[in-house]
Amino acid sequence: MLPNLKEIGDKITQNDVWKSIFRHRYEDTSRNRMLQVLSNVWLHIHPTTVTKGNINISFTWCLGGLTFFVFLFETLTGVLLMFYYTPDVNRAYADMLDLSNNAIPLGRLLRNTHRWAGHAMVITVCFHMLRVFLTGSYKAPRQFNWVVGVILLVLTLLLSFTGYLLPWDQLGYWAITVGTNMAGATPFAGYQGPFAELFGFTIDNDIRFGLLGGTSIQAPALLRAYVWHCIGLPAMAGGLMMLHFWRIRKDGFSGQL
Amino acid sequence: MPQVTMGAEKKAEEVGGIWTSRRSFFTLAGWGIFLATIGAYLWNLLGTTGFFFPKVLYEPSKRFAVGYPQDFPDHSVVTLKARRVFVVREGNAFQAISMICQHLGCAVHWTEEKGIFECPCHGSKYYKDGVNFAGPAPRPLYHFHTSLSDDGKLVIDTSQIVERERKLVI
Ligand code: HEM
Ligand code: FES
Repeated sequence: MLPNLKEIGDKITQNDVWKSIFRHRYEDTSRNRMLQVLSNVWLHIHPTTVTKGNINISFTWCLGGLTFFVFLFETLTGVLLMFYYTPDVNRAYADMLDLSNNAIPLGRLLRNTHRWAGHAMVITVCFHMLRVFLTGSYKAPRQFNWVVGVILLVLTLLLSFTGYLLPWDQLGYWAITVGTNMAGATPFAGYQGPFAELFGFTIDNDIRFGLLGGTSIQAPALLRAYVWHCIGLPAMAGGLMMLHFWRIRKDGFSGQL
Repeated sequence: MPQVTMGAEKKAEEVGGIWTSRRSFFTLAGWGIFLATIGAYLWNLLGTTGFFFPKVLYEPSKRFAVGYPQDFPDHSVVTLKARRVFVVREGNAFQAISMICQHLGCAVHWTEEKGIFECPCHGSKYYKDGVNFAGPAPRPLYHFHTSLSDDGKLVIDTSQIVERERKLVI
């Protein structure tokens, strides 16, 4: 005779492996639902109770969430790109072309989505900031998270900027030329900026030099852009995002009721 | 009979500034030394002589020979792309003009038909003598020092910026 569904279900769920992963059963009671969220490493990021206003899509448009999603997507595609891209002046451009021309299975999809998603992240983070501003969500007690957010915005722009140089093509090369020359005009830090003489900044000891690792865009600049783009900036942004989300949980969403 | 005033004494100690209370003086001094040490290490890491500022650069020399004067046709502007300079010859007078745009550093190019230098990035324009006349560029293109080497080659030194009027007459 065939075993009935209940028996099969019990076979699957009544053992140590299952119970060590899913610690609570399905009873649809308020207490059990909270326990499910609390005891699961993924779900516990959510509060155990969410008010109606918090899930109202037209309050946040989920713009911060979208930014985070795009960031995760960039991390995934970026790591895959790292398998084929070499940050070397003689190889970078050719590696990028190989990816674009599908010399690597899914190469073009990877590179193009990584690039478009990079643009998308800049857009979503700006709209997220605009939303927070328009709903007045930066007010007490959320000033701290606003400041964390401003740093996240800067990191997002820097990620975009450093990634721009990596194809080692004309577009990126001259964009970084222009961008780092702007850095060279920073007050108190750049060799062409105000007070450069006072502090003794010259082309080989100012902030532009520190970014490029030289006086012009050469191999060290490509390597630096690569390390900042793939490790330094994502690590900082990831850490600050944890802080950002933790504060959101502690302060609660601003859209009440 | 001596009065018991321990509580009151302690209070007086707390009220005293760092000069009167030994404990807060040492606490402050300890923190001061600790933070100064951290600061010194941070400066060595991030400062202008720190980790991000290499002491040896593998960059092309700023002084280089570009060939014999007769290699450059009369009344011409020759573009030396890799060196980022133009060699301008008028009769037997030579000048080296920088390709680097004075706005934000793109490479300007020589437009023969118009007889001017143009920047592709934000549209700065310069006359043949390097003086800016359109676009965001704030000042003329640099003119570099030129000389002749012992074997008669034209030598340009991009670490020496000279006045616009200076020409190497051969
Ligand atoms: C990498 C960039 C960022 C990520 C991934 C991110 C993520 C998020 C997420 C998921 C939320 C929950 C609400 C929502 O989805 O809108 C949120 C809320 C918030 N964000 Fe961001 N954010 C980023 C940048 C920023 C920036 C640039 C600002 C402002 C300068 C900012 C300020 C805030 C504030 C104040 C809240 C609380 C809003 C409320 O309670 O209504 N964040 N963020
Ligand atoms: S860099 Fe030449 S016009 Fe801006």
